Amino acid sequence: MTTQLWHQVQEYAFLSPSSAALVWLCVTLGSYGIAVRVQILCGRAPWVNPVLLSILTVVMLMFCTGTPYEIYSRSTGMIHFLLGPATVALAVPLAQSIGLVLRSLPAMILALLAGSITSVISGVGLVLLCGGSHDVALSMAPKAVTTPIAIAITQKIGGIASLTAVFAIVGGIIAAMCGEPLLRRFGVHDWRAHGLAAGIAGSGIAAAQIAQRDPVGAAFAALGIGLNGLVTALLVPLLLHLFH
Amino acid sequence: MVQAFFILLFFQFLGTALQDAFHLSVPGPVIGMFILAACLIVRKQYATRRHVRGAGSALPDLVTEQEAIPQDLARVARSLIGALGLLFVPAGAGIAGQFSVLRTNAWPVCVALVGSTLLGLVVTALVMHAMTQGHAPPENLSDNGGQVL
Repeated sequence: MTTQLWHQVQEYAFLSPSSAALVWLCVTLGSYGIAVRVQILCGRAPWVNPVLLSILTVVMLMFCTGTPYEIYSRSTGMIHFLLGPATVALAVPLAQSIGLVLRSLPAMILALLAGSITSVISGVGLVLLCGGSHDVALSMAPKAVTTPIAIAITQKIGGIASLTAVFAIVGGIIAAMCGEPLLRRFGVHDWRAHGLAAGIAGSGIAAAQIAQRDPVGAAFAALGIGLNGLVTALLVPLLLHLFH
Repeated sequence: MVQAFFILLFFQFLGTALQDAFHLSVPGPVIGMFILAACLIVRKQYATRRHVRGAGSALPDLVTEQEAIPQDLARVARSLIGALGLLFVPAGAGIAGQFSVLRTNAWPVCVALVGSTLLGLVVTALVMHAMTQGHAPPENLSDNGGQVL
């Protein structure tokens, strides 16, 4: 009796079209809000990443309630849509610290090229060295770029689009978690370098972590995301052509 | 808020239209970001020039900044960027559908993701660090512990 009632409640809340959108939006916002609180409680430690915690909560709940990803993705389309305006909004910190950006332009271009080439070659190389399949290696090539550009590139070179999306997000989480402590250990105490490295190696997710810490870092991260997208889109087909 | 969302969505549309028109591989929102940044920078330069001619204000930097970037836009941009992480959760949950491919390639995928991401981070930051040292005063990593943006 009670289990049957529970099943009905579960089906209504998570799967029926009238309530699924509201419930999954609440779950996503709620789990992210709690994850941010947890990070603050841990002294804003970068390795307690709220994106990762929130994704894990959502995936676990999807698994427990038997919700297919299509229903979840349709329900939270509103949040996904805001990614566009939020990317455009990165123009504001960029315009605010343009003086600082222009002053370190030559350094930035060199760092950008070095970082892009390292990411692409080491990504493909490590997969092949460890015995991964060819299309997984191709899907790894553009993973440092922001997700929508990465998908466009991978489709062009014959990788698997959804795999690249996952790699881009997990790579971003790794960069967000390890970036700041690792770079401090290497003696880098400059928000410009931290921001640029986050934007180039970890795109949006690592940039979000830096944006919480410093506005100058946010500006360099925004520039890093945009420029790395441009460079990698040109570089990946060129490098593949050279190796074949 | 209305004005700010109009500006953001309008520039996103502009970027997307340009992407479609010229078949670019850079996505529309990123193009929109560059165009909006260019517009704001031009406005800032224009405001600075007017203030230099007028030479009346005590804090020209602050005044031109407020004039060039609409307060409403700055506020909405700050809250959107503050919640940027949340916006990646729906796409990230897509990992649920990829478990089988990931399991067969688990070892190479893990090594490549961790190794390549960290290598990219360190190389970028070290080149940037080496090149900027001695050129401009470094912005020391002040641990403010709070949200700036």
